Amino acid sequence: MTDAGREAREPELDPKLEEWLAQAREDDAAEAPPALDDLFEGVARDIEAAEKKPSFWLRTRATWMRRLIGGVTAALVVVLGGVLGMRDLGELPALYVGAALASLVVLLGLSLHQALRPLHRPPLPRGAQAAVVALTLLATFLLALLSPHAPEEAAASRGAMELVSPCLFYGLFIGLPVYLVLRLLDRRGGVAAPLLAACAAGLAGNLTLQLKCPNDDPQHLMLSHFAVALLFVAGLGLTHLLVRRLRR
Amino acid sequence: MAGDARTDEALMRAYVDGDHEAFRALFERYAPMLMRLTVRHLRSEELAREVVQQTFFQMHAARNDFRRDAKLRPWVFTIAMNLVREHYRKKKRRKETELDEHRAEAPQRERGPLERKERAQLLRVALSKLPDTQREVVELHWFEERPFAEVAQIVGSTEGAVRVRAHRAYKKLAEMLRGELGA
Repeated sequence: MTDAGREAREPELDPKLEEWLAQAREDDAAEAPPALDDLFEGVARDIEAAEKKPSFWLRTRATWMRRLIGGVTAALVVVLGGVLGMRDLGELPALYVGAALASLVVLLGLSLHQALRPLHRPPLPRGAQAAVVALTLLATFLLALLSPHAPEEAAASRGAMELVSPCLFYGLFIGLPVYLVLRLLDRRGGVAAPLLAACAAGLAGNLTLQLKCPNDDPQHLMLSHFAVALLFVAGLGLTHLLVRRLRR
Repeated sequence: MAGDARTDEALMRAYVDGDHEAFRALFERYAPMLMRLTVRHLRSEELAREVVQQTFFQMHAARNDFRRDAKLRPWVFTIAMNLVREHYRKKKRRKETELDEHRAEAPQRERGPLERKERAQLLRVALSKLPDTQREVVELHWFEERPFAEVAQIVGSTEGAVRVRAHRAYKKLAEMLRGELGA
């Protein structure tokens, strides 16, 4: 039998250690119970104060409902901002369009889902959080890098500001309501939820630009499409962390 | 409501349906258990009280997520353990400081039979030196007497993995206390 197999059976305890642990358990059980009235009053006060805030009503909805609200918000924003007045996607290779839309939609769904994780589940492991952030940045970076750019549209003569605006601001404008709604719906706090909400916002902004913007110049895509995801993740995520740290 | 004969799950279902007395009854059942669990983890009654209050606050906020066929105890314990972990994350440096304090607290004694209090203190110090993932398994499995399947649910792992953690933790505890266990 392997070590892991042996360890996975009922743990064997040193008899003396077992005696010590049993005594500690007895001592714990013998301790005087806490004064419950004060403790309960504190909880009741906190709940009463929280219920005065309209956002608390949103936070107390079942998780499936919070996810639905978050998803509908993101969908509405993308439809209103991107699908209405959409560019002709037929100009682009089908493979690129398929890969771009599929990766952005899947990652948007994943980050929305995890940004609104229920309280009775353990937190998303750090590695998984990092993976969602890394995939968000990697996908948006690769979509900019691997753009099917036509050489005649080269932007050699364009200035940096022309490459950047107005897509960068439009993408940020589109992502912001997604971020805000996810933060309003979050009841967990901590580091992961704002970071994942920032990923969702960046992806929503990017998806909208992907549907709307006819400029396939890689420089433009890098400076104003990928930059939306980067600014949301690095900017809002880090700002949130900084604010929390300063508050402590 | 202290003598409420309803099961935990029936009380929670009643609470979700708007019976506020059921919340008080659940509080009376769970607050002492959660206090024991969190005091052992946080080593501070004040912090433990905060975490217990926060657990019930979050339980209220998340009440609409309670599945009618689910068990309440792992549901509540997961919320409490998440808050304990969040506390540790915020106070990353706390652990080192506390270990130093524990080292200072550990009784320096002459060889001879150990008193029960001394044994309890040595055990506490040894427990605090375990990695968090092992310590939470020992506390839930040994002190709260939760089965491994439930511990796995609370810490978000598999039953096999928590058994391995428990095995390693008990082995490590025995190694740390080797000199004292014979006394």
